[in-house]
Amino acid sequence: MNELDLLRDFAPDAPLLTRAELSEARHRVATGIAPGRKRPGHARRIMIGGVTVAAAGAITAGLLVGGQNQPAVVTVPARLTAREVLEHAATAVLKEAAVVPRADQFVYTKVSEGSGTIVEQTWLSVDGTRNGLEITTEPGGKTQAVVLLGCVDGESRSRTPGIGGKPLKLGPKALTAAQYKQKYGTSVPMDGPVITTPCTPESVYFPDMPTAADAMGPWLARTQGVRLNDLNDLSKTVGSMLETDYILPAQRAALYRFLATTPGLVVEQHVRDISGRPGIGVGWSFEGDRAVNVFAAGTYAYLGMSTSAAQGQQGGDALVRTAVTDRAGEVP
Amino acid sequence: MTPPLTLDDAAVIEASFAEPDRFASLFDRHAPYIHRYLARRIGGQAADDLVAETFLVAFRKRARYDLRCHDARPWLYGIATNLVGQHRREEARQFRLGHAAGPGSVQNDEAERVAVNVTAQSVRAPLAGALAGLARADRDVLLLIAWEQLSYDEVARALGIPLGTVRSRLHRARTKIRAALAGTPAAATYQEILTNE
Repeated sequence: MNELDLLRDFAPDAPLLTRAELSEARHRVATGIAPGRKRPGHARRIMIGGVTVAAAGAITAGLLVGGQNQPAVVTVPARLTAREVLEHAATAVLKEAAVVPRADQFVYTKVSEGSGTIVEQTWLSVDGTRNGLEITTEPGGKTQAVVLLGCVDGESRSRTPGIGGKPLKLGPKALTAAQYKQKYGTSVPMDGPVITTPCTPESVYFPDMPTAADAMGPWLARTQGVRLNDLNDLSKTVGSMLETDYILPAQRAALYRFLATTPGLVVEQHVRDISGRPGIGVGWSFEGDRAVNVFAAGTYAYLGMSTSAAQGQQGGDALVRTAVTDRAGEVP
Repeated sequence: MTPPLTLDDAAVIEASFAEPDRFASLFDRHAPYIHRYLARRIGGQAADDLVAETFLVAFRKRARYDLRCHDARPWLYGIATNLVGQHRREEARQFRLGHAAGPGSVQNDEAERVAVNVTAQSVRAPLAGALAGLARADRDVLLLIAWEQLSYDEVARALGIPLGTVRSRLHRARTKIRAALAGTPAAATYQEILTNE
């Protein structure tokens, strides 16, 4: 077996798109490179309730700070520094009760993508040893569910295409999975032989994650492969972990406080996440574009990460819910 | 009659310093390949967004392009690879889906009469698991060579690393993939496919 051949032959299905299929992306590029456009880094504008306004504000506003159950009202200046916003987020999250998940439970996350039109619900095994589930709901209500294999006793067990434990036949008249679905109107039956693959459980809860900010950097570098001198890498990893993993309040506070020590972050007042919820952004630049980790105005709960291209295109994710469930598929 | 003059990539980039619009022709030449690479690594939907971002980043960085290199595709692959590195969530999701089992048994009598070329699904799961276990830098090198068929030299140029580093990363990645798959049904299935062809 030549592993390069294996990789090549079984690369994920992805067609070469036609010029027509790429026309929207091409338009973005053509617009972006047109002479006379504003250069990246100039006064960025953000949306407030459909009205474009300058980002910075100098007013004083009353903000809610506190846990989700008992928010407290404090008055803080609107023009906060990134360090101050992250400290408020840390203070707020420490008011939440710490619920340590059991190894046999699942971390449920509900995330909106694509302007909030796609909803992804995921149940990931706390210790990585049980099968999880992902349900994606597309615009129009179409849903797709897939089982995410856990790693049990060092092996993941995967069912293969077939019927009654027997594999479907190969041969010159073989159909692809897509052809099968087109011909029979149903997915390929997945009741063939079980194959096992060596694996290492991937946990979404980290008991060893520090609760002290000064220990967080080495931990992120060691366990998440973060380049600590790369603000974009660090900030996106933090956002990604907050959207995917289960992090205890004291760990999240340490994460925020470590991020707060990183130079280059700026506050963007009155931003909205991809689903339209208002918040305060802790932002950074990358490759001429901008991104923000958004915290809820008032509670400083983490809302998600939003990106904004120099040409104004918005992207990102909105974290709707994180919870612990006893079963994959159980909606809390 | 004089044939139409076709500029190579380096000439297009050089021309775009004075006429930025010229840069768009690089998109027409290379976007399908960059999109496919991105789709394989982070999924089609995210690739739709990142393919434009790749070219916009390239446009902004074009002053640093080595005009001695006539083919810009390795450079574009390098930019795309950096962008993939900033989308861990999407890449992790691809690995999870690569691991994913199907929706369960489907009752369909006709299915028994049909031969279905679905063995690839049986191989992709172990492969996805093996790939997920690699260090990101090693995975970048391996996939540029295996999926996109770049040469060592092109990978070095794409990622801005010495040729020796490409070799060492590839060796490390291949060793780990081989170890992860050795003795598994993935290897056996692969052989079965070869003998069926």
